[in-house]
Amino acid sequence: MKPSSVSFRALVVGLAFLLPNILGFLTFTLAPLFVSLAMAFTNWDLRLHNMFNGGEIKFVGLANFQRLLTLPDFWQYFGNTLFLMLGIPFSIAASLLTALLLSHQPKSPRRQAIPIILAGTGLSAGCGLLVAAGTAGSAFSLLIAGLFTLMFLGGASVGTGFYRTIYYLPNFTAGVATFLLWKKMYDPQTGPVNAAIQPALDRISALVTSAPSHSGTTLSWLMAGMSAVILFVGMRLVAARHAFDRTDYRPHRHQAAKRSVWRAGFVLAIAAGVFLLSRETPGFFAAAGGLKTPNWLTDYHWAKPALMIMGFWASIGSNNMLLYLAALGNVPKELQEAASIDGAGPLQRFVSITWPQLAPVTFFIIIMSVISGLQGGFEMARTMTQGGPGGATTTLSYFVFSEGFTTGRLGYASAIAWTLFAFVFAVTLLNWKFGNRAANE
Amino acid sequence: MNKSKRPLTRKIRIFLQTFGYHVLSALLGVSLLLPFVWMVLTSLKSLTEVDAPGWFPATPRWSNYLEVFSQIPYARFYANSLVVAGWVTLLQVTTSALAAFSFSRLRWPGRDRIFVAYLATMMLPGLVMMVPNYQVMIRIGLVDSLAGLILPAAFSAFGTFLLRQFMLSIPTSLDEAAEIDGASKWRLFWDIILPLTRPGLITLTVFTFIGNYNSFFWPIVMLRSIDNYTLPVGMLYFDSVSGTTTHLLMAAATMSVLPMIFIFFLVQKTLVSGIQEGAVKG
Amino acid sequence: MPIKGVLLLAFLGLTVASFGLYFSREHTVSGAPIVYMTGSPGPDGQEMVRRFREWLAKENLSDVDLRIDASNSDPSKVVIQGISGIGADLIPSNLGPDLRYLKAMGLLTDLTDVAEHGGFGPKTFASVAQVETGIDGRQFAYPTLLYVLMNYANLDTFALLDLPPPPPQMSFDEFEALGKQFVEKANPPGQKRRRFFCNAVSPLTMRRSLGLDTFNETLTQCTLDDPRNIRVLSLIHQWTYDVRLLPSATDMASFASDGSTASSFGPRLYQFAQGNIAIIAGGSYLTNSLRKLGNLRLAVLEPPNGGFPNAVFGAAMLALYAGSPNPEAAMRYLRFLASPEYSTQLIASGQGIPANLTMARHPDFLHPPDHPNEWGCNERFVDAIETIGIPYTPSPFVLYSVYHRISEEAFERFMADRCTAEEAARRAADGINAEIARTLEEQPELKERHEVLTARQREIDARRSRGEKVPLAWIENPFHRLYYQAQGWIE
Repeated sequence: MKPSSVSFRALVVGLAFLLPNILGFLTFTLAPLFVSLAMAFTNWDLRLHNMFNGGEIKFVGLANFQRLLTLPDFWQYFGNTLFLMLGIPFSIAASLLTALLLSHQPKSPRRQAIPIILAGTGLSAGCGLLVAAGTAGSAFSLLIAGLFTLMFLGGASVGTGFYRTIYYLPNFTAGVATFLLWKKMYDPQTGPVNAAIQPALDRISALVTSAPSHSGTTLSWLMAGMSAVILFVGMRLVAARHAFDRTDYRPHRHQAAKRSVWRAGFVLAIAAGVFLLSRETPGFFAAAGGLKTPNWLTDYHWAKPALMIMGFWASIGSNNMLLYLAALGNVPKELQEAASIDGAGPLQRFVSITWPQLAPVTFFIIIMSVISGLQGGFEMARTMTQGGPGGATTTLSYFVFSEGFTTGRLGYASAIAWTLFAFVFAVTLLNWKFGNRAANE
Repeated sequence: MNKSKRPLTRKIRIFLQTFGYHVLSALLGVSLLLPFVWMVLTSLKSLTEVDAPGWFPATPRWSNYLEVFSQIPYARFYANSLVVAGWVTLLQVTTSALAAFSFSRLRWPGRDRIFVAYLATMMLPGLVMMVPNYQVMIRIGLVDSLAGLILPAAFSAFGTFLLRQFMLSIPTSLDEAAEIDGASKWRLFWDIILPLTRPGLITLTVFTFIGNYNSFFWPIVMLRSIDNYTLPVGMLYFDSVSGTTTHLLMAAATMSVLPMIFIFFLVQKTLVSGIQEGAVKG
Repeated sequence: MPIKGVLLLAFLGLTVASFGLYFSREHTVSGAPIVYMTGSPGPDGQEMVRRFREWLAKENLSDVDLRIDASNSDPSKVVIQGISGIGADLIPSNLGPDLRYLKAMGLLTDLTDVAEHGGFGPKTFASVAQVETGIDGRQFAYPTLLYVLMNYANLDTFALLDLPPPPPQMSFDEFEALGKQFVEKANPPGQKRRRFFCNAVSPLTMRRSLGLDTFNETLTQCTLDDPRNIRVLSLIHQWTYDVRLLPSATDMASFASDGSTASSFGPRLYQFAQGNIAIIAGGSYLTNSLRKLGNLRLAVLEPPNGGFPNAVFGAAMLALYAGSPNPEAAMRYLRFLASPEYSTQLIASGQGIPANLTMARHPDFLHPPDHPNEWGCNERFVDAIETIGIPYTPSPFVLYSVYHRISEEAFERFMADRCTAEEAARRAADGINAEIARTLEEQPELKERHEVLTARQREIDARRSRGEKVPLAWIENPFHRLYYQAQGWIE
C-alpha cells in the first residue's frame, strides 16, 4: 500500500537524521528525567546506597516534599532566590535604556566625524589638565580620562558597533574569571570598591558630624526651607517646559488644582524629611563613628546586594540589549514622526508608541529572565561566598548542590529540584496567561 | 517641525546631539570596562603592591603571567578546557543540525509531537538531570574523565530549536528543486541547507563554546585529578590555595578571558544578527 | 570558508589534541604502587613523603609512590569522590565525628585487626585519641597529630602596658576583670577601639565548664536550651559589645593583614604579633605560623572556665579508603605514622602534637632548641591533653557537621543581634533535635537503641535529682564521663 510504505520510509529517514541527537537526548535528558522524578519519592541517600553499602531503596511517597516545605531554611533560601531576582527589572530597564541610547545613532554626515573627534579629544585633554593641575588620586583620574578618550575616538571613528561590542563584553565573558575578579574587587581592605567609596563616605560623615547637633535646629529649618524652595522652583521649571508647545495640552482647571495639591504635599513631605534627618543624623553619625564601608561578601546584609550589583553590571549589555535593539529597529518611523508633529515630547512618544511595540520582546525577556533567575545563583555563590555568611546567599540551586553532592541525600535533592521546577512552571504559566493578554492589547 | 531655523543652527544642534551621544556612550563604556581594566592592571602588580590602594603598579611585571604557569598546571587547564569545549561544540552543532533538518525539512509521522517534547524539556532546570547523570557516570566509570564532561553536554534541545528556526527561513523551493534533480535527503542537507544555515551555525557554535568553556557545576562535581581540571575549576582551586596572591589570580583570569574576547571580535556581526534573527522569529 | 571544511578540520584537530592530552598525563614511572593521600600542598608535605620513603628503605619494606593530592581536601569533595569510587587511598578526617559519617557510607576499611599486627594499633598512640579514631570499639583511622584548643598570650603586649602576665587558669570573672584592665589601658579614650583582649572564646568550652554539653549523658537529645547556655551566650555578647574585650565580626573584618605573611589563619595572627590582640585562641598548630612573625614571647593559658576546666581536644587522622586499589601499600604509611621518624619530622615542622605521647614529651618538642621564646608552651598543651582535653561530642544520632552547622548559625544570628539569647538557644536545640528525629526516621535500626538510651536517661535524671550516684557504664557522653567523675557522682 503506497501511502503507508511511503510514510514508513519517511519515518526512517526522518529518524535517521534525528538519531544521534535523540540518542543523546534519551540517555542524558529523558531517562534521567524519569529517574530523577522517581528518586524524588524515595529515600535514596548516598550514605546508604553506594557501591560499598548496599542498602534498600525505599519508596517514601511525599515525605521528601513535606520535609522540604516545612524546613524554615528552605523558605530562607527561596527568599534569597527571589531577592536576587529583584534586580531583574532594573537589568531589563538598563538594557532597554542602553538599546535606546545605541539606536539613537545620530545621522550626522561623515564630514562631521572630524570635528566630533577633535571636540572629544579637547574635552578629555581639558579634564586631564584640570586633574593634573590639582586634585588627589590623579593617577586614577588620568586613567579615566585616557579610557574615555579611547572610547570616544573608537566610537566616533567606527560607529555604534564599537559601543555595542564594548557593552556586550561583560555579559559575554561572565564566568568564574569575572566572579573571581569581583570577589577580589569586593575585598574590604584591598579592593577598589571600598577604596573608592571610603573617601566619599568619610567626607559625608565629616560634613554631617561637623554640624552641631541640637543647636542646629535653626540650621535644620534653613535646610528644610532651602530644599522646599529648590524643589518648588525645579518643579515649576519642569512644568514650564511645555509652555512653548503650540498645542492645547493644558489640563482642566480642577485637574490643575488637584495636581497643585499633590505637588505641595510632595514638597512639604520632602522638606519635613530633610528637617528631621538633618536634626538626627549628626548625632547618629557621631555615635556610629562615621559611615563605614560595608564588608560586602562577608556581611550578612550586604552579601546579596553585592551579588546583585555584579549581576547588574553583567546584564546591562546582554542579549536583552541586542533583542531590544532589533525590536527598536522595527518600530515604524512614520508613527514616531507623526507623533512629534503633533507636539508630543520624547517621553510621551516613548510611552505611547515605542513601549507598546516593544511589548512582545519585553514579554519574552521577562519570561526567560524569570526562568533563569529562579534556577541561578549557584555559580556566583560557589565562587564568591560558598553559600554566604549564615546562608545569606544560598539559592535553591545551591541548596540542591549542597544537599545532593555534599550531604549525599540524592532523593531529597531531587525533590528540591522538582519543587524548583514546579515554581518555574507555575510562574511561566502565570506570565504566559497575563503577559499574553497584556502584550496583545 | 521647527525646520524653519537657519541651517547653521541646525548643524550646531546636530553636532551637539552627536557629541552628547558620544560622550554618554563613551562614559557608559568606560564604567562597564573598569573592572576589566582593574583586572589587567592588578595582574601586573607585585605582591606588596597588591594590598596597597592605587590602581597602577610601579613597574608592570609581565613576569606574573609566566609565574602563573609555575604555580599551577595552567597550560593543562587551558588545554583541557579548549578540548572539552571544542568537542562539545562540534558534537552539539553536528547533531543539532541533523536533528533540525529532520524537524524542519522532512515530514514524517509524529514529527511535531516529538518536537514539542523537545521543547518542553528545555524548560527543565538542568539540576533535575544532574543527579541521575552522575549515577550513570559512576556506573560506566567515566567519573573524573574528560569524556564524562563531554558526553552529557553534547546533546542539546536548544541547539536543535535554534537551528530549526534558521532552517525554516530557507525557502522550500530549494527542496523541490533538489528533489526534481533526484538528490537524496542527505545531499539536500549536506550540500544545500547546511551552508545556508551558516549564521545559525556560527551563532550556535559561539554560544555552545562559550557556555561550555565557562561551565562549572558539572566539572566541579565530576573532576578529581588535577590533571583533568578545566579552567573554571582550576581557577577556583588556585583561589583556594593561593590566598593573597591576587596579582597571579588576576593574571590567570585575564588569560582565561582572552579566547572569549577573541572569538567575539571575530564573529561579532554574524553573532549579533544571528541572535536577533533567531529570537525575533521565535 | 566552507562549512564542511571547517567541521572536518575541527574534528581532526580535536582528535589530535585529545590524544595529546591523554598521553601527556602523569603515568607511573617508578613501578611502585601509587598511593594518593589527600593533603595540603607545600614543602612540609614533600618532606614527609621523602622521610617516608627513607623509612621504608630502612625497614626493608618495598617502596611506595606516595603522592599528595592537594586539590581535593575539601570535605565535601572527599565524600562525593569516595562514594563515586574515585576517592584517594588515604582519607583525612580532622574531627572524630566526621569519621562516623564516612564510615556510615561504607567508605572506610576496618583497621582493628590489621593494626594490631601492623604496629599501628591503639597502644601506639594517646588513649584520649581513641574516642576520635574508634567507632563502636573498632579502629578506623590513625591519628597524624593531636591538637587541643587553648589560648596563646603575647607576653610582650602585657609587659609593655605594665600589666602582669595573665595566669594560666582564669575564671569568667577573672577573665573579664583582666580584660577590662587591658582594654582600658591599651585603648586611648575617645578613639575607636583597636586593641582587644582576646580574639574569640569557645562557647562549647564555656558551656562545658558550667557542666553543660551539647547533648545529654546518653547522647539522645540536645540540651542547648538549658539556661546555662543562655548565660554563656549572654556573657559572650557582653564581652563583645558591652565591655569590648572581644572584637565583633565587623571589627575582625576591618583588621588589616600583612600581605607578606599569607597565613591561612587570617589576620588575627598578625594582629597578635603587633600587640593589638593580647590573647588568641588556637592550638600548637599555630606554632609554624607564629614563628614566621618573629620571636614572640609566648605563654599558653587555659580557656576561661566557669568551674570545670576543660579544653577541646581533637586529632587529625588518616583513614583507609574502602575502594583503594593498593590497601597494603597505603597501610605502610599508617605504620610510618606510628614510628619515631614521623614524630620527629612532625615536631620539626611545628604542625601539631605527636600522637605518641612519649614522643610528645621529647625534649625537642617541649624545648625547641631554636626557639627559647616558646619554652613552656608545648608542655601546657601536652599536660592539657592528659588532664582536661575533651573531644567534640560524637553522637550516633546526628552528624557532627550537621549539628555544628545548626549551632553555629544560631550563634551567628545571635551575635548579629537578629535574635535574643533565649531564641538562639532554643533555635539551636530545636534544630538539632529535629535532625535527630530525622536520622531516626531515615535509619530505623537506630530507633531501638535510642529508646533504650532514652529510658536510661530518664533513670539518670531521676537519680541526679535525688542526689544519688550513677554507674559510669550508663554514660555515653565523653564529656559527662569526665565531669561526673570529677564531681564524684559516679558510684
